[in-house]
Amino acid sequence: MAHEFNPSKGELKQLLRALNRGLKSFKKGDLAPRTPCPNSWTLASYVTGELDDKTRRTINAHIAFCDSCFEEYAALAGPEKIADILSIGFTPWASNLQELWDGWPRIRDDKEKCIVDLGRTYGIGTQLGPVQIAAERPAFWKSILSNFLSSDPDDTFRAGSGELLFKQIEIQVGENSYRIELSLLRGEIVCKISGLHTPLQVPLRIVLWETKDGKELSALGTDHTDDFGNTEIPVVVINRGVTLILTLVLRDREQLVGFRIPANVPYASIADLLAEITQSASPKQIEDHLKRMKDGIDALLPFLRRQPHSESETHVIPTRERNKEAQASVVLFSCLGSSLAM
Amino acid sequence: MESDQTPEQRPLDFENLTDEELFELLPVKEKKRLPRNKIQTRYLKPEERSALEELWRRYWPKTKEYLRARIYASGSTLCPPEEPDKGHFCVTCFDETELVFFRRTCRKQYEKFGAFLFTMALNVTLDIRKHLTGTEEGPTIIHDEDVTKDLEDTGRDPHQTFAARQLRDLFEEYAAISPRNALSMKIAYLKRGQDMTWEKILELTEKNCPGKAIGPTIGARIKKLRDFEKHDTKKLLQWFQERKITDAGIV
Repeated sequence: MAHEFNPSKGELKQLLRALNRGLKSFKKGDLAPRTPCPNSWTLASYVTGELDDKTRRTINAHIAFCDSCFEEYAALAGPEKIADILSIGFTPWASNLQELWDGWPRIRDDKEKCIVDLGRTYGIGTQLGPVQIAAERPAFWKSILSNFLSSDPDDTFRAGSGELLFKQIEIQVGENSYRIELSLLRGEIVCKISGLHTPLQVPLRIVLWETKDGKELSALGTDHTDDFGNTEIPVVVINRGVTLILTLVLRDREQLVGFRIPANVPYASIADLLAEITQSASPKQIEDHLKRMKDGIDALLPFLRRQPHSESETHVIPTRERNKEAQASVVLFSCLGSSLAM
Repeated sequence: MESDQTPEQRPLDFENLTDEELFELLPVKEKKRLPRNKIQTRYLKPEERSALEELWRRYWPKTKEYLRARIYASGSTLCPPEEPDKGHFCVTCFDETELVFFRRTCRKQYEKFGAFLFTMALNVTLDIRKHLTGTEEGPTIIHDEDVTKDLEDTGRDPHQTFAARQLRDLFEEYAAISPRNALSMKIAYLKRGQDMTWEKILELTEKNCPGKAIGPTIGARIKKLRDFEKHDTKKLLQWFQERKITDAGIV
C-alpha cells in the first residue's frame, strides 16, 4: 500500500529545496549511463514486455540517463506510449486493491464518461471515452422470443441466449484491444471478454467492483484472461440500480469501464413488456398486433419446416430449426415494434 | 501410394501440426549473430525448413500488420529522417525479418510465439534504424571509476562528491521502477537542474514524440508537460522523504 504523503508546508519547502539543489549540483558526467547500452534484441524485448524484472529495471534506469537509448525506446514504443506516459491518468492506481479503493474518488470523477448505461440504446459505433459500442440489442426482442418459442421456461438460453439487456463494447488497454460483451439475464450478469488485437500476449487482469451511489465501492472479485485476452467471467449476481465497474489491468496500463444496471430493467418479462406497451397503445391495438404477429409466425413455420437441412447439420445444431424461427420472428417483432412506435 | 510407406517415411502434414509439434522440428542451434552486412547462411533440413515455413505462415501476417502500424503511426520516429520513404523502410524491415527468422529461430519451448516474432521484427527494425542513423556502436559508456574521476575533476570536496554519488544512486533507483519514472526524472532535471524553459523542454520531448500525440496546440502540450512535472515532483519528494533526504545542505 502506498505510504501517505502529507508533508507540512515547511517540510515540503525543505524537500523541494533539497531536490532543486541536488539536481543543480550535478556536473557533466554525473548523469551519464553506468550500464552498457542494451542491444537491439534486449530493447525490443523490453518494449514487448518479454524481459525479466531485473533486466527491465536495469533498462528503466539506463534509459533515464542515456538519451540515445531513450530515443530508440521511444521509437520502438511509439508516440502514443510516450503521450500515455505523460498523461497523469496513466499513474497505475490499481497495482493493489487498496490503492484502487483509495483512488476511487479521483477515478470516479475523471472517468464518468466511461460509464455505459445498459438500459440505454447508444447506436453502434458510438464512442464513450475510451469505449466504443460494437453491438447492442434492443432490450426485449430475445427475451420475448425465448418465452414465446420455448415451452420450457428454463430453456431461455438455448432458445437464443435469452439476454434481456446486452451491450458489446470495444476498448483499448495499452497496446491491446478487447471486446467486452455484457448481458443481463434476470439480475445476473454474464461477462465475456475476448482479445481483438493482442500484440502484447499477456493476461489481462480484471477487477470487478460494484457501486450504488458512486461513492462507496464494494469488491466483487478478480479474474484474468488467457494470453490472448479471452475469458468468460462466471455469472455475477448483482443488485439492480448499481454500476458494475471493470478495472482492466494490462501490465502497468489500466483502463476502466463501468456498466450502469438500470434499477428497473425494462421488459424483464412479458408482463413488464405489456405494462410498458399499454402506456402507448390500447389493449385492443395490442391484441391486434399480437394476433397478427402470431398469424405471421404460424404462416411462416410450415414454410420453414419444408426447407431442406442436411443430416449432419441437423445433428450438429439440434436447435437450428428453432433458431430459424427465432430469426423470422425478429422480423415480425421489428414490424410490431415500429408500428407501435408510430 | 501412401499405404506403402511406413509412418516414419510418410511426409508430415505440417499444416495440421500444433505449434508445439512444430517447435520440436526446428533446428537445435541458432545461427551465430553477425553484423547485418555479413553474409550469413544456415543449412536447413527440408523438415526444419517446412516447420519454419509453417510457423512463418501462421504468425507473420499479424506480426507484419503490427509492425506496419508501428512504422506508419502518426508521429512515429521508428523510420528515421535519414530514410524519407516509409514504404521502402517497411519493405526492408519485412524482408530482413524473414531472413533473420529463418536464420535464428531454433528449437525451444516458446510461451508466446507471436510475441517472439514481434520482438524479432522490432529488433530487426531497430538494427536497420541504427544502421541508417549511424548509431550502430552506441554511445560511450562511462563506468563508475570514470564517474568518480569526473566528480573529482570538478573541484568538489569529498563530501560533495559523496553526496552527488548518493543522489545519483537515488535517482537511478527511482528511475528503475518504470519508464515513466525515467521520463519524469529527465524532465525534472531539465527544469530544475538546468532551468530550461518549458518551450525548450517541449522541443526536446517532441524529438521523441512529434506530431500532436501530446496535445493539439503548443499551449496544451506545455500544459501537459507542466502538469506531468508537477504531479511527478510530488512522487519524487515523497521518495526523498522516505529516504530521509530532507537536508538542503547535503550536496
